[in-house]
Amino acid sequence: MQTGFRHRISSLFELPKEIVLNLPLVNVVGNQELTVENYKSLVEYSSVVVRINTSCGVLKVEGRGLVLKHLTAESVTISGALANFGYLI
Amino acid sequence: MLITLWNYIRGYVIIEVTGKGALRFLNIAARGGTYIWDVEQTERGMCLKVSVAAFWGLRRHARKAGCKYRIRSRSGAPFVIFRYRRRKMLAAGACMFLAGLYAMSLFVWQVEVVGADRLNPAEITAAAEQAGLGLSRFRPNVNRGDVEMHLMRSFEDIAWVNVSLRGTAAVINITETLPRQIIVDRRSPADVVAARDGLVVSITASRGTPVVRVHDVVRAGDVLVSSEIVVRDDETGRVTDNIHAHAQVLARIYYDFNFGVHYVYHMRNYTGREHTAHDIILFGRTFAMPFANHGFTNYTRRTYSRNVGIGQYYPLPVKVVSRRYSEFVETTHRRELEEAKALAEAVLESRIEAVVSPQAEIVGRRVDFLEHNPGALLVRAAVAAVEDIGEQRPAFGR
Repeated sequence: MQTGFRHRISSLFELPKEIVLNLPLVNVVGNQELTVENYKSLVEYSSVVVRINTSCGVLKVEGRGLVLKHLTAESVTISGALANFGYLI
Repeated sequence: MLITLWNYIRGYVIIEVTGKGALRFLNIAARGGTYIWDVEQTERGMCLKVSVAAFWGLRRHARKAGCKYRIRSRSGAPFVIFRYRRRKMLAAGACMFLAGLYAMSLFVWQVEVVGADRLNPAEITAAAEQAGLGLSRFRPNVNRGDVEMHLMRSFEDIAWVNVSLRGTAAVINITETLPRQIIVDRRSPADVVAARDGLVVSITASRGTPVVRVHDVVRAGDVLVSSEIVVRDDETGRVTDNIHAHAQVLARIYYDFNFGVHYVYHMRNYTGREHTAHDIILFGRTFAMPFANHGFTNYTRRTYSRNVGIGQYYPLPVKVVSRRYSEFVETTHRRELEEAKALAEAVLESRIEAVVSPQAEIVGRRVDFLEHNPGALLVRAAVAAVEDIGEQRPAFGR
């Protein structure tokens, strides 16, 4: 109910959804870099798979030579040869 | 780039985290406000970088996560300074270097002129030097307004000028005036005279009185169409007037070409071996660098030079001149008669193109190859071209 109200508000006033609905913002640069803002925590990290817990599920990133290029409380940047990524629902 | 530089200046520690709680350690540290970068998986756990300031707060995070960490290496400016803390002369040398660099950045080491198409950039640079802007001038003493005013006064063809100082480089931006139009005053009397020797083929006079006929041979400077016209010529007398003559006078002009094409020629076959030698020019003095000897017998040399500076806007009075030597082996060949003739034709074409006006029409051409010389094929050619030889000259200015 609360989410539906926030969704309507963000649509009505054209506010950024990731702020109003507290959703993760994922930026992908080619197949080289992926940045997740507004994440919750890291669930798994290895050089071939990274799993990140977000408010809308676990984001799974697969690839080769994955490195956490930047890690702060607000965002995490993964670089390497990205193969695929998606939410585990 | 900037973040990397900033991290280097602050100093950072590369640590290896081992144990089951390594991932939890990352989450706790990140939530605690620690900036972590370049996290990589290793055989025992994971490697990561944290700043020196953040490193001291990691102990409680590790204890909470139940993992261990150890320092693998330390990097950055604080550690380099700490390592060389006892080497006083090194520090003094570094300080002197920085002081020298700062002192040199107070002078102008490059003057660039932008926008000079018709004007000579060297003349503009010389004029700017007179106004106080030149190489090795003290930058704070350069008055840009004075230089701009001096350039505007010195050159009539400058419509706008701006002098800007970017670091140790001075850029003189100019905008030239529009080219002056050649105004022909058709009211002043003028003759049409021959610009060169030739045999007159046709005369088409729109104004003036022709004084030569078709098939006349004329010399350069002869009057072809006179400015004098007869207004009236009867029993009352002869009345004349002078006008601005205008005519197209086509004449046949002969061009002679004599040259030889050698049968024997030499070719350079480059071996691929190259050697580069460097010179450093510092304050106008040249210092040769070692390893300049190339040891080649036959070689070609290409010279490049580049200014040394800090970035784009801080050129220094240092120039590196590089000489690249390329070794070649010379081989001798002999061309056949037909090859020599083909080459002679090509040479003749290029010479005709260089000498004969593009507007001229070539009406006759004769080429004789003289083969009696064993060393070279001699070429004797005559080309006849028809072109306009008339040019206007003031009638009373002679």
